Amino acid sequence: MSGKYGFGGGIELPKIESPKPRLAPDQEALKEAVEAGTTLGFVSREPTAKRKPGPKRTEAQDKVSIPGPKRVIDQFRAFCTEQNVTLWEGLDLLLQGRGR
Amino acid sequence: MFVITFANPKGGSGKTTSAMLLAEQIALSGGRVAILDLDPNANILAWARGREEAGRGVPFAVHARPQVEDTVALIDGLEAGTDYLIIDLEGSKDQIVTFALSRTDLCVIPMDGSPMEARQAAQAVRLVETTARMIRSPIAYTLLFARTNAAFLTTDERDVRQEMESNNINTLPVRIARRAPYTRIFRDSLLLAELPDLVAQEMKGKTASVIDKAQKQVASAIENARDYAQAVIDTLTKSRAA
Repeated sequence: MSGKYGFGGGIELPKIESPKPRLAPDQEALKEAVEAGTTLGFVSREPTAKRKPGPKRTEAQDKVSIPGPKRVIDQFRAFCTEQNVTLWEGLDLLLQGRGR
Repeated sequence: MFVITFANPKGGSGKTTSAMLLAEQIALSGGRVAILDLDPNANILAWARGREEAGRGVPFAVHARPQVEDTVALIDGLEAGTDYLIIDLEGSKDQIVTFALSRTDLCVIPMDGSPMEARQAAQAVRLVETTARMIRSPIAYTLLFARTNAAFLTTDERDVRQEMESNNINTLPVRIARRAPYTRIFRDSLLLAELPDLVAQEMKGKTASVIDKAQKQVASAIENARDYAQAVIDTLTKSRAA
């Protein structure tokens, strides 16, 4: 331990001598592990862009929640109202004008 | 490269704090360490960003969560420049946990010793054992009592410990107590090692007893973090030798 109060000391790490490269994962075994994990309840929680049941829309749907300063969100809502468009249409409109 | 993963499907069990304390101790001791922040809350990424914005260096690389299916490739891709990769997982039953565990050398499962967290920790243990069986490679694991009361052992913790002992579940011999310095490092994007000087500055003009109390609190936190990190490294070394 070093330093006046002993704050400078570290821990003892094992020597790492030219470590063996890790074996590449066995994709089949990994797939089985993921399936077994699913049965234990560890499932994918990634947002998906699946089509919802019901009347088919022309393209896949998704959603996003955008927390941010009220000033910006209010401006965005006001912009959509002015343009008489929905929120996603307003976003689409702004994205089309990007870089200008 | 050693991969040390922190898992418990229950949020708030102490995964992020335990991961950060370990990373700092390894970095201070000369190990090349990186953190993979797989928690969508991204508290470690925010910590690193806070340090960069304040003009303080970040002593280890912090990597953001990739797409689930890219997790294994990202972990393996870090091997060249890293001795210790620490993975902070999210507190939910997400598939990404299985992907991370499949490349893990030691899984640390923090819990506070309450019956609710013990049940969630048991689920993490089951997933570790199942994943190890499926990939036909052992994955060492240990439970860690974190966010505990520094002064005494609660009856809940005693009860959980008894059950773990009777089931031969590995437990880290050092607990991480709930301490103010461990939350402060996240609040102000600090390293634990920076606190003694900072506290000394903040305490200027206070009475000797107040200064002494504040410094003792920091010193205890550092000592606890160091003992805990050494216990993790010893467990890792033993599991590799077995």
